[in-house]
Amino acid sequence: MPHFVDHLMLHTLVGRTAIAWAISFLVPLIGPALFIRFVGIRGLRNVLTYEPSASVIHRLDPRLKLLYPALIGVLSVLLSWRWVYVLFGLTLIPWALLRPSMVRVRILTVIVVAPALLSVWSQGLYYTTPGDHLIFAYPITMAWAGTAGLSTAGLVYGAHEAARVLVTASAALVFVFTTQPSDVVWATNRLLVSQRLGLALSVGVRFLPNLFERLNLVMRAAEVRGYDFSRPDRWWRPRQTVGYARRMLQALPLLTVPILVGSLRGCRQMALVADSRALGVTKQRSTYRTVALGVADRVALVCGVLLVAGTAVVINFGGGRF
Amino acid sequence: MSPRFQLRAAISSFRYHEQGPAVLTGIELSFRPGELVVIAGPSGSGKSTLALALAGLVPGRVGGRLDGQVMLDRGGDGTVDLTSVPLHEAAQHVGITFQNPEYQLIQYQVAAEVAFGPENLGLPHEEVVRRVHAALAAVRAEELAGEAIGSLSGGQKQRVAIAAALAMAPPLLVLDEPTSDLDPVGTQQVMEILSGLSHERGHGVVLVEHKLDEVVRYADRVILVDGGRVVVDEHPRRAFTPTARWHAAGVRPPELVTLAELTPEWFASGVPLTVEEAAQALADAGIQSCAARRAPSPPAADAPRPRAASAMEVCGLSVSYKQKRALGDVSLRIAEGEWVALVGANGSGKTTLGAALMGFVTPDTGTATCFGEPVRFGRIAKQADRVGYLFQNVDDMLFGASVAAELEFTSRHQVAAGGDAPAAAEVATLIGLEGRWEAHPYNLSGGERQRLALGALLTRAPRALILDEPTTGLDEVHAEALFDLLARVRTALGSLTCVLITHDMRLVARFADRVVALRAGEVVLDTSPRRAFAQGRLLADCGVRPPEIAALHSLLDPDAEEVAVSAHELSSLLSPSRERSLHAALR
Repeated sequence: MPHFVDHLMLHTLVGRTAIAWAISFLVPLIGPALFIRFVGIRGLRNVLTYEPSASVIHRLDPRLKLLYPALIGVLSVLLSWRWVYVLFGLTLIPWALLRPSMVRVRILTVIVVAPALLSVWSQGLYYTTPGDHLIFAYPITMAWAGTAGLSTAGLVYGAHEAARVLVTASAALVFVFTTQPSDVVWATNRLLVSQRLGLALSVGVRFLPNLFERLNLVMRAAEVRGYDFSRPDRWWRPRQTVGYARRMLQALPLLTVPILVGSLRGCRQMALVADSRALGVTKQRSTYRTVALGVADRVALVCGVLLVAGTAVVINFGGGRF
Repeated sequence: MSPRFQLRAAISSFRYHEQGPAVLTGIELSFRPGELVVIAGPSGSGKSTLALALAGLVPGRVGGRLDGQVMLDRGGDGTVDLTSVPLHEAAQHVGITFQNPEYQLIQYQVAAEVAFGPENLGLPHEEVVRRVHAALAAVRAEELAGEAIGSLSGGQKQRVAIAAALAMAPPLLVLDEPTSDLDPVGTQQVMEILSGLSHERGHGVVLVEHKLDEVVRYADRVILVDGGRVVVDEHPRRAFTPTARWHAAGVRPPELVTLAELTPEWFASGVPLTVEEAAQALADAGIQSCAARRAPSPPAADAPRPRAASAMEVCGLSVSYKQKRALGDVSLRIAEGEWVALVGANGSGKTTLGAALMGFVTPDTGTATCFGEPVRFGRIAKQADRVGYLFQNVDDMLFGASVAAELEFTSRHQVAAGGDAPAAAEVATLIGLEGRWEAHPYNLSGGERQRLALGALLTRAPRALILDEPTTGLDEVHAEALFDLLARVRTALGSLTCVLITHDMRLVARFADRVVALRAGEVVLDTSPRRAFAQGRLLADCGVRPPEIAALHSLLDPDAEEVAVSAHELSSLLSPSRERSLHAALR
C-alpha cells in the first residue's frame, strides 16, 4: 500500500501535479491561516503598541532603545547569514528580560515567523538557476507557474533573507513594545530627527490601537445591520471557510468609508491642535523631561560596544563577512 | 491672576465658501477677564463657528471668507488681530478645546501632553515644569500627571485637554461642548473647574453648550445664537425671559426658568438658576412644602409590567475586561413593549449591559435571552434579526453613498431580513427622508443622520432597540424629535421594546417607563422615573443627577416617594387651583 501511494504521488503526473499545487497554493495560506487562528482582526489592536511593564528594558533610556534596532540592522547587513542567526539569538535576550504577555508572544510569533517562513518558501520556488538541485521538480502541467520546482539553493537563500527579517523585526519590536510614544518623540528629538517626523511617529503609535478599536466598532455596526463576520464553527470545512473569507473581502470597501471619514476628521482636529500648540515654531524644542544615564543604561551601552567589537572580530577572523 | 484684556469680535459676515450662505452675520461681542459666558443655540446655528472665530481659527485655519475682526486688547501691551496672526500665537491669547477630547490629546502621557505646547515654544525647562504643574493644578489633575492618556475617563481626558490649552497661558479659554460625552457628575466637575478658572483665577471662559440646565448656574452671561446672529446677550437671570424667543429658536430654556415663567408670582425676586434658589423663592412666597399636595399614585402605565412576555432577560450576568469587573451578577427582566432607561456614571456598566444583550461581549458567568432564545455571544448578525443597536456615533453605522443605499443595505448585500420587514420607501417616509433619497449620508445634518441610522435598523423589522447615548451632540429639540419618531415607530409596529443608555435625565423623564440605575456593575435601583428621581441621594451615589424640577420637588418634600418631572407638573402641584389638571397631566 505505501508503495502504491509513493508511486501515485511521486511517479504519476496527477500525483506530482497535486503536490506541486499544494506547494504553490497551500503553503502561502499558512500565513493567513495562522493570522486568523491566533490573531484575528480584533487582535490587531495589540500589534505595534506599547505594553506597560516595570522591566529593566522599559526603564532604559529611550535614546538607547531607538539606536538599538538601527545598530542591529546595520550589523545584520555586515554579517554572513549564519552569524545573523547568532545575532538573532542575542536579540532574544531583551525579550527574555522584558517577559511580554502571552497574547503578545502569540502575535509576535505569527507576525514575525510567518513572513520569515514565506520568505524561505518564495525563494525556494523562485530563486533557481539551471543546474540547481531540485528537492521537488514541478511536472509539465505546472509549467505556467514559472519555476522548475523547489530548489535547495533557493531555500538556503530564503533562509539568508529570513534571518535578516527575523533579526530586524525582533530588535525593532523591542523598541516599540517598551517605549512610550511620548518617549519616542523625546528620543527622536534628542537624536536630532525632525520634530514633525517625531510627532508623526508618536501619533501613529498612540492612535494605532484606536484605529483597531474603530475597525472593531465598525465591524460590529455592520453586523448589527445583518452582515455576518462570525468565524466558521469548523474552520477546516472549506465551504464555510471560503464563505467567511469572501464575506471579509467583500466587506473591506464597506468598512473603509466610516473608518476613513472618522480618521480624516480626527486628523484634521489633531493638526489644529498641533499647530495651536506651536509645533515646529522653534528649531530646538525645550524639554519637560530630563533623563540621566543610569546603571542599566551604562550596562546596555557596554553590551552595544561589545556587540560591535564582536562583529568586527567575526568579520576579520571568523569568516563572518557578508 | 490672568492679565487684563478685552476680546472684541466684530464680524459682519463669515462664509465657508465664497458663494455660500453666511454662517455668521452682524456679530458684535466682547469678553472680559473673570467672566464665564455660555453660548447656546440650535444645531447648525453657527455657535461652533463663532467659537472657532473667537480662537482665531477662521479664516486662516478653517478656510472661508471673513468680513470683520477679532481684536484682543492686552491692556498696556497693545492690540492683536487674532484673525491675522499665526495660530500658535493666537493660541497664546485664546485657548480652545473641542467636543471630543480623544483627538486633542496626541501624546501618550498626561504630563507630556500638557508640556507639549510649552516645549514647542522653546521655553526654559524650569518654566515648562512650572506651567505643567500650574495647568494640572488648575484643573485638579495633578495626580494624573504620570497616567497614560488611554487609561483616563472621558471627564479626566477633558480636564487634561483644558490643562493643555491652559499651559499655553492664554487669558481667554473657548470650549466647544466640552461636556457632551460626560455623565452629570463629570459635567459638574468640569463646570466647577471652569467656574474656578474664571471667577477665582481671572480667566475669561467662553462655553458653547447644549446642557443649559446644568451649566447656567455658573454663567455670568448667556448668549443665544440663531441663524448666525446673536439674538440674546444677557445676564442669565434676564436672558431667558420671555422664553418664547428661545422656543422659537428651537432651544429649550432651563426647567427652573419655565417654572418661574409659569408662576411669576412666586419668583418676584428674579429667575432662579439653582434648585436652592428656587426653593428659597418658594419659601419666601409661603410655599414651603408640597407634602400636603403629593402627586397621586402612579398611573398604570408608569409601573413595570411583569405580566407582559419577556423581551430580554439576563440572569446572574458577570462581565470583566482585563480582570476588571464591569458587571457583577446582574439579573434583569425587560418586558415586551417596555422602554427602559439604563443610567449611571461613566464606567458603571450600562454600556456593557447593553453590549451583553446584543451579544457583543462574552460574559464570565450568567445567561442572556432575547425573545425566548439565548443570546449567542459573538453571533451579532443573528441577534440583529430581533434587536437593533443604535451606536453613539451614528457615522460608524453609515456605509452607503446615498440614503437609498443605506435603506436598501439588506438587499444590496444579500443580508437576510425578516419576512415582515418594511420596504425601504416606507422607512424613508417614516423617518422623514423620503425627499432625500439620493442624498449622501455625510451631506445630511446630525439629526437627519441619526434618523437615517435608525431607519437602517428598522429595515430589518427589529422587535427591540438598544440605543447607546442616542442624543449626544443633538440639541434638545432634535433629541425630542428622535424620540417622537421612536414613538411613531412603536405605533407603526404595534410594539417596540427600547433599552435607552443615557445621561439625559430630561429625556428619561419624558420617555422611559422604567429606570435601572447601575453603580460599579451592579443594579442598585429599578423603578419608575418618578420614584427613581425621588431618591436623589442614591442617584447621586450612582453619578446621576435628577432633572432640576425633580430635585426641587424632593427638596420641598423630602419624604415624597414620587416627584414631578416637569415645570408644568410642579407648578400645577404647587397651585391648589391647578391640582385637578395635574392629575390629568400625570395620567
